[in-house]
Amino acid sequence: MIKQLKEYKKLSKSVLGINARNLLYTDRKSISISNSKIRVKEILKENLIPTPETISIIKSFEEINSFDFSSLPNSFVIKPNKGLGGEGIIILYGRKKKRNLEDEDAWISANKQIINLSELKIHMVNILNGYYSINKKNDKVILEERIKNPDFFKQSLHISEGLPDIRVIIYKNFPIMAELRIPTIESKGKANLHSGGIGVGIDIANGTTTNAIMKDEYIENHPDTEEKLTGIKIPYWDKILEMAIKSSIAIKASFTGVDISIDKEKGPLVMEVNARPGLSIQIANKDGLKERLESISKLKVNNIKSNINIAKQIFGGEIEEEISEITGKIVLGRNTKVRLNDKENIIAKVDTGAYSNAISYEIAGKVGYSDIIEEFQKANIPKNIDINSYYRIKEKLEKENPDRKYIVLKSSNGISLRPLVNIKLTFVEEEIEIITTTSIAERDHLKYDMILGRKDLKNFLIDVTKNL
Amino acid sequence: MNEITIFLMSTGISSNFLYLLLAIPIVATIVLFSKEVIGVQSFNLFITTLSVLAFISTGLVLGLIITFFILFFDYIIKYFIKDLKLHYTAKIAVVISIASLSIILSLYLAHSFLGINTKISIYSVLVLILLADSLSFTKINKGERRGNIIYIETIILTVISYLIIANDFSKMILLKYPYISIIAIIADIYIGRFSSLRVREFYRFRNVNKE
Repeated sequence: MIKQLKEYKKLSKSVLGINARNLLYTDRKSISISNSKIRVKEILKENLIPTPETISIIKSFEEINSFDFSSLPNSFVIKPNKGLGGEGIIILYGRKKKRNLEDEDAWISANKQIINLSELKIHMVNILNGYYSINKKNDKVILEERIKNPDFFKQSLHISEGLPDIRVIIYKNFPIMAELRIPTIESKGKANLHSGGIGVGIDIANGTTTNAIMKDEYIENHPDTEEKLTGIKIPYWDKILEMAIKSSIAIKASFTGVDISIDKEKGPLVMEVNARPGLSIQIANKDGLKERLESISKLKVNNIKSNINIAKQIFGGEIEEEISEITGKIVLGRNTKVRLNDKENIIAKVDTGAYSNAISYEIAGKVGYSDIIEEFQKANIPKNIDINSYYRIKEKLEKENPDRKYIVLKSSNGISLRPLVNIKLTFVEEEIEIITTTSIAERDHLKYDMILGRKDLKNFLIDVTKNL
Repeated sequence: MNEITIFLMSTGISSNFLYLLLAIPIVATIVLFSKEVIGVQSFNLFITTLSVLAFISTGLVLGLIITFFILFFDYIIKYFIKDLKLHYTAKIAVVISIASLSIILSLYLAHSFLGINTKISIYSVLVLILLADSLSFTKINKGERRGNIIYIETIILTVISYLIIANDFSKMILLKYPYISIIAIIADIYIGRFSSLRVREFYRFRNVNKE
């Protein structure tokens, strides 16, 4: 019991609960603005923040009767103005072909369900009656363009229906936490977590997904497509953070959850702003919001770009480790420390332009190939001859001493014949040992005593900004 | 007995009526505590508090029978009208009609099989019909499954509050020390300022800080 109380105290310090959110982090004004999607869209437009185009707004029963449904595009979305948690939203993917002329207009909705015009009208009447409204009061119907999934989500997640979105929590103009929300068959194409959607935590620093949850339980793969949910890099990441901050500034809220979807052609668009964002984002990110909010509360920087950078540094994970965790590959920089034959530590240049490795005569001498070098220099091979002559010399030398191997290489300095030796190569910091081959070349005028070619770099990722 | 109680009863207020009025703040505090501190999901505080009063009028067994049948018939009727695509208002009309008919059935069954006294006030019946309305609304906003769960949690909370308040001992204490109801209001203010995790959230977020 005492142990649990201690745990409770500790958790209370880091995790934001409903009570703290409602008491300490919400203000009435931003709730009333964010409750009305129409108002939010107006404000976003005034501030030049991209948001889906409104086709029409329907306010009364008369307007439903007089509305020209044939003027609607083939695909669009119907939303209640004051809906809650995505309820009442219908996505229409296309018009159903008419078999006969007198057939009623009909559209195809999520899960291939067919919705005809009269059903659509009933749905609109229900919205007007406040069926889906937060306060049960009369509401308005929004007809909006449908956002088309970018190829990116189709490729990484194989999502065909439903629109994933990115929820970014903003506090005092800082991005605090983010989550990718993915629809499932169970959620009927909606990205909302309580309708059965998936939430995936995102590392603020680089926009890469971390842990996935469905109904507050951790999962590895998408239940419908079996695709892996972690390690997905969200495109337009910095732009998304910037748009989320701008939206929060525009509606003058100190604490908000901004929902952003990515359209195939238009890029990121702000869908909604929530004054009371859901709290399971903390489970998906395996971190508490309260601690993050408190750490930012005393900062006074008000430049969107610096705010993003500060948040990335405070809340971002260890980027390199993460990439190696996700891809199973280790990150190398432009150069790296290696040990040759357990004798000499040197810094080698990582050169993806070259296929094979090369070491200098000087180093080759130090790590046990001095006899090979001596022999090679005695052979006195002419320079700048044609490639076939080099091959003939190579064959001749290899015949004279079958223990030796040579290689003819084309490089930026022209064609050359070099000795080829087996070598034990240890990546010192990464603690990886491999047995490989390297040629011995004149590198006196070059900065590095060794270059590492592509052939041994298959299991690494190269970070060009990393340099010793 | 307390002087205030004696004075009020001398003006013609019955002791039972006075007890019910004094019980409301206590029940409201119990419900508030359960929601904000423990994290019980129930319908809004008003309906939950009224259900406790309705249970005091019907008695525990009859109350449970009625609430069970409301849930049961709500499920059945939704199944039949699901594909009809009705207007919201029409659906609610059907739902509350079915709820009141299911109360007739409950009364009949309770009387003929359990011999329970079925002379209950119309007000308690109305409150229980309100439960059916709340159930429908919650199902629309939070989905079928969560609607049912919230309904059941409301009933459990109602039963617990009922067990605390609806007995001779509590009645005696309330009439003897009516000030307790004032203390309940002070407790409400304290609970209203509680900004820590709810007990349920503690279990929900338990793994957040663990690797």
